[in-house]
Amino acid sequence: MGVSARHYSPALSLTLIFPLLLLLLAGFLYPIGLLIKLSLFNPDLDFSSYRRIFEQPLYLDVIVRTVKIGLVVTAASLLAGFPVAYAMTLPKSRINTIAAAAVFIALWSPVLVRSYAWIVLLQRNGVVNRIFGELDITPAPLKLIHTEGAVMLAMTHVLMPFMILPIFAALRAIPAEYVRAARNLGADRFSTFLRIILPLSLPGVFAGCTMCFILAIGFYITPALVGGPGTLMMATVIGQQATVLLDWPFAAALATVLLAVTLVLILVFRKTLSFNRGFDNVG
Amino acid sequence: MIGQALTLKGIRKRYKENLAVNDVSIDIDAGEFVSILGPSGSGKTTLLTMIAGFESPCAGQIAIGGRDITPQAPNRRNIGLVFQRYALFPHMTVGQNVAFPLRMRGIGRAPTRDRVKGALELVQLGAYEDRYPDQLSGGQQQRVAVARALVFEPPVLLMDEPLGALDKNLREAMQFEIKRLQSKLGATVIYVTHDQDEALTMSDRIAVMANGNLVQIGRPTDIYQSPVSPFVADFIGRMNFIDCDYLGSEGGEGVVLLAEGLTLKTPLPGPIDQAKIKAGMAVRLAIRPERMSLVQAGSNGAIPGRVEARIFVGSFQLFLVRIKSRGNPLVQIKIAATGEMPVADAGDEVGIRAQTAAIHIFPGQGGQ
Repeated sequence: MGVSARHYSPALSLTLIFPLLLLLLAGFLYPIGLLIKLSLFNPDLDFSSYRRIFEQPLYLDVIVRTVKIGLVVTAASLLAGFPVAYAMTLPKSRINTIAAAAVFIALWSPVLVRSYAWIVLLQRNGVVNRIFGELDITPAPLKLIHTEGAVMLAMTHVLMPFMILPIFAALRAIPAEYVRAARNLGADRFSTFLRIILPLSLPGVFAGCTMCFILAIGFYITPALVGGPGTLMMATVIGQQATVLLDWPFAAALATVLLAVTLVLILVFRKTLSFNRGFDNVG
Repeated sequence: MIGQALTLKGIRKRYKENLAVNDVSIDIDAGEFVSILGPSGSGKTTLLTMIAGFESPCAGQIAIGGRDITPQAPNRRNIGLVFQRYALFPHMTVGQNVAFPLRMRGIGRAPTRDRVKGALELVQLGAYEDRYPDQLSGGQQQRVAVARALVFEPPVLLMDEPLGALDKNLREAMQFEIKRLQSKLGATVIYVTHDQDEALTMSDRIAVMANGNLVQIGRPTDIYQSPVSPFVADFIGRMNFIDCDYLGSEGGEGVVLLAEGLTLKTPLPGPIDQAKIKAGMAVRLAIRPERMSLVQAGSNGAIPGRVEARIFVGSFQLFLVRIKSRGNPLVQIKIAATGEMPVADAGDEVGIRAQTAAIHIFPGQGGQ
């Protein structure tokens, strides 16, 4: 279908990808190599940084919390984002315009602004606590900000567009004829969704989850602003080590662990979600 | 269950200003193969969409076996439908695709397996049950689509240009295959197409549509031999049109004036057009290329002309002749290729004759 890579000569293909390849080598692979080297050699081979990570409960806690927050945020984005993506594909209506506008405005406004917005909402004298107080729902202001819940909520809000857009793209690529065919063959709206639309949108779901999860476990600004000392995540700790404590080998070791965890989880993800085919057997 | 009557009564569909289907009524008998033929934009696909239930008509009634289905949702209509691009579900195997309508009807595993096998054997794809659609050729995918539409034994089978995406040889093979299946099962088939050859060879009856209207419905031979309007005449088969003036009737035949001093005998106008055609009025003659012949130039009563091209098409020869009548139209004449070839060649002056009974006469003129 369409023009495949095989229609270009190898020389042309190489020329076309060369700038990107160069950029990847110089700007990504080389620094990561340096980083790993920095974490392992001091100046001789030395695993002390890694030993520290896995021996001190503080850092293990941070890793576990980071992965946990990443998974919760990804799951919440998926649950809240799928209906939005689906609404965006509905035939011309007010709902799809509103949904699309909400997604794009969220995507285009700076992360910093959106994180501060959550502080305004959740702080001790913030909007939420004042409403609760006025309505006598709670006797005293609740501690909302600097909690894990606040971090998850704010991160879900920030990352949801990255979930919605790939799912929207996958849903929009499903030909209307498939839906008509399913209806014609006797499927009601719900079965059509469950057996046709949902399985065919899975590549988009996978892309969205991957993107959301990778961004979540490396997230810096929002956890730093909305979270507190009790909600430290990997990126914050790495930042502290590199810029405040100037312990570069340890920061490098933490970064390498984060990278490894990311890669492993993506591979696991891919395995469990690669049921584009044969999904029908599951039901 | 398979093969019931379908009745369309006064179907009308309007999209804002645009009247897509205008008061169409057709009675289709059980087991009949009816083609809906028309150019794009004629309303044939809209009509099919309404029968399948994806759109509801603004007015009118659709009934299957005497039961009104107009208000029913598409999944409750139990109508088979074969899409132009097959619409096989890409994430299911061939077997799962064909089993889909049975699962939706809550049919048990064992009977489902047997019926899927039976349906796939019917279209000669018994060995392909575990393949995915993208592992099949276009023709095979088409046959899977047919099996999927037939496996639940629908009372009516709709086909929307089902062979449109196939190449010519495969199309002809599939036409035969579909026809064979239809007569074997006694299925009622509504076949939407813009291909007149397909409609002529496969149908029991053809319904010709134009601009949302049903213009003519009848057996292929009737449509071909007695078109009711220049549109139908032109749309089905090749047709020559000659503009001229109607002089009046004479001894049970009509007489027209082609050019100064050149008259031609025609049949009398048909019953519908009779009132519209009076002596002195402009009319259009329509004559099939195979009902005309070449004679010596200057022969008595022949229309004079000059051969512009001679095309050899295998079983016949096609002559393009510029005739000397109003507007000097180019006329096609089809002559069966026999052992001896006619002598006329490009540039030759010739005379042409038309079989009087094969001439159609329509009111008005067109610029051809």
